[in-house]
Amino acid sequence: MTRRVVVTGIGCVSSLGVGTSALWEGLVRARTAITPTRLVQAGLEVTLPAAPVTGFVPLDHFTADELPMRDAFAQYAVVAAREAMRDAGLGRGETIPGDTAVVLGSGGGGEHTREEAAVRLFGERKLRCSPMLVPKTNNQAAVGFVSMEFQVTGPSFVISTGCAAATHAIAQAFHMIRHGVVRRAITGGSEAPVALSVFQAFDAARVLSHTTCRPFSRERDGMVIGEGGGILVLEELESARKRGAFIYAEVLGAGMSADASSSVYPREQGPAQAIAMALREARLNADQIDYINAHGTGTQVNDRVETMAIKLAFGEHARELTVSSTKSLHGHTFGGAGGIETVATLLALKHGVAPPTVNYLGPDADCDLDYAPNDPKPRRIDVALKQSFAFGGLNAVLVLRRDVVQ
Amino acid sequence: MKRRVAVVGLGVVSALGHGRPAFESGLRLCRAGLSGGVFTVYPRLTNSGETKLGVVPGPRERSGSPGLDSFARFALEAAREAIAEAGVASLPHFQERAAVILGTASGGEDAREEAWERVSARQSKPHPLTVVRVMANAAVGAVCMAFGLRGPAYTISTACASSSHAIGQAYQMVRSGAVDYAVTGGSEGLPGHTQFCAWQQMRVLADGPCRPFAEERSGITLAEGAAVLVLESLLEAQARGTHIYAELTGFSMGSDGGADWLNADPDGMLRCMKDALEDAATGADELSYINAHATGTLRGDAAEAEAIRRLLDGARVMVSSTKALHGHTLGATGALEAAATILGLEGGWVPGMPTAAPDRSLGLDLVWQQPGTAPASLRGPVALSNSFGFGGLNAALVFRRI
Repeated sequence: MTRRVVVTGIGCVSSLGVGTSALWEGLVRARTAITPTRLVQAGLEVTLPAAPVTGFVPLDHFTADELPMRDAFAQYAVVAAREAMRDAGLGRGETIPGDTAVVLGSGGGGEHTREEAAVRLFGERKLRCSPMLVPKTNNQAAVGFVSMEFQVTGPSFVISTGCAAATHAIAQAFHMIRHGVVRRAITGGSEAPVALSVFQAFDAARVLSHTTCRPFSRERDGMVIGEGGGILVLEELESARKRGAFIYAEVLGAGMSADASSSVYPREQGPAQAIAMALREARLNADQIDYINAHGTGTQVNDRVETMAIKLAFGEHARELTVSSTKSLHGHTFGGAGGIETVATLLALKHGVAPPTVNYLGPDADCDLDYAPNDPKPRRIDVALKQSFAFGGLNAVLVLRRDVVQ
Repeated sequence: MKRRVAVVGLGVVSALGHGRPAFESGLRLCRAGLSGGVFTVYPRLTNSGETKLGVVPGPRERSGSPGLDSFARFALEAAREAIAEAGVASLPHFQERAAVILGTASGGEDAREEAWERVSARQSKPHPLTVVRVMANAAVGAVCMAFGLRGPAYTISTACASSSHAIGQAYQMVRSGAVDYAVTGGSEGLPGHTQFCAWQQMRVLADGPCRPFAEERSGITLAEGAAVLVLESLLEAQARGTHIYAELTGFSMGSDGGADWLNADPDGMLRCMKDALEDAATGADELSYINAHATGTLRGDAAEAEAIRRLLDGARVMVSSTKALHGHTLGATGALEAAATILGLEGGWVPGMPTAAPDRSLGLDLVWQQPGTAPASLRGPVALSNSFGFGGLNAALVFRRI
């Protein structure tokens, strides 16, 4: 006996603003948050295009006493979770403590805090670190604070699979409700990688753009780092119905796979297998999908291989799909990407609009699908896919349907 | 329809040595692998006192796998041993039908440090492979690539509970039929300078030997290592006649929810152990051994002892913490302790702790052992392994002898 799972709440902090309405505004107005960003630390300096969160005032959300323990990635998760729980109509004390899971994704944990400590020790040669460094930088800090905030005592854990972390997390939360382990879940992910050390490491790997993020476009030259978090409240269908909650969509399936080929160069078979697995679980045919919120990082190789994977999984129907990468608007938030982008996908389902892929200059030989170039595309979207792929060849795909069909 | 889940392969790398036999013999003889190598590992630190570390023996330099940090190399080594022993690599559907779920708390600390060293001290760029070495999913990726595994694969990172959470997830996937096999466990390298420094500042590191549950316990001994288990449906394992270490019969994970950040809450621990036993459909009366999380801190051990006392309600069950021998490997510790629990259960012995004056106020049936002597024998069929992480994240696993 498996249970049906629906999304009843969404929350978001992104470079497009605090809250899901700011995200949607930014997406449909095709207003990219990517901007030249200068970071200075310990006498070192880097300027690169990035999509930092602006207009987020920590003291609006936390007391001065609470802040020293909370790295930005944990703050984003908590603020997004508050919005999602409010949106779902669930306040503190309204969940059944042991019957709710918290499953979040994070790639790097407390990068800012880690960097400050490294600057002190390596740069200033001070041999004392904050005793809070370990719990504050650990990936599970966000989950700890979210579970404390809502007094959740159920299963709580963090998935750390780089760029696919939040999508893997949502997949796990979905399966836990589906198999009756819990009735509700707070899930998604967050990341705060706008830090000098992260910029330098990714730049050394030659994957960052020095212009802007233009996924699937000709002349694309890399990814742009963003930050933020996106959180969903998942709930068993019956429980959502009983309390008359608004239902954004039903989660029908989740697929996960590994490429098993290379840590840097993806292969189309792995993602295609995850798409097939997700569709199988959803009991849908490939031609029932309308929109894909792509991983679309804007690197030459990702976008080429992702397009090949879509063609492999969908055959002729690939031409009927709208595929867009909202990373061109809010940047690549790594472990938070699947959270923010699933929120974007749910809003696309709700409004019947595919958000655009901006900065698009035209097709190239490898990328020739409908990417909703530069302008939002109103269209019928009954079923959508969210897909995420991580370095190391780890893939995760979600299938979401707007209407709860009997 | 829930399937029963068997442990059919085991691989270990730890301060007790390379390979499962070295680990098992260290545990049986109660020989601690913790040494005072702090200055070799942390040349920049000068204030390390009597602090000990659990260092994996052998050269510290990476060899043959430039893209892999220690935590990923340890995981790969342990996975090779476990998969070889399980005899699964040549099975027709292993590559498609195996999940790979591993835990780590920090990922590639060596690469993270090396990058700072280059940037900060030498004003040069980080190595191009920094990202792929640092990322927490590097170990999972390496195992998938080495064996061509293409099923669900991901990393769990919940500090000290990481690998118990990973084993629990893998167990649930094999049990539900989502996959037929799982390669699961966890790995950790030693923390870098900054993290080690922070551990010192937390004042939780032992200033002598690590002595969980002892009267004179003074804290944690940090260590590195990995343990990997291969899980398979019990029926399938029996059908192909492979060696079965134990059955994994129960798992629970939970959060303290609102408790103190650093100080574990006995209520949350108790709830977690109870739920795991319920999941295993086992009464506390069937339990014969508990491998405790006990890291050697005053308050942490006392909180866990209280939870165990309340669970047992007067029943006599042997309790030990093998961290006294292999140290606290953070994200790998749940897997190392699951391995210790399984080995003891299968062989009918209890891993003991080097003799020390016990903390009598704890009220537990603690297992002490003179190093070099034979271990106490274990008669009952069921054992429990606990893991509790910062932020009040808990996990418990229940194993049963076949």
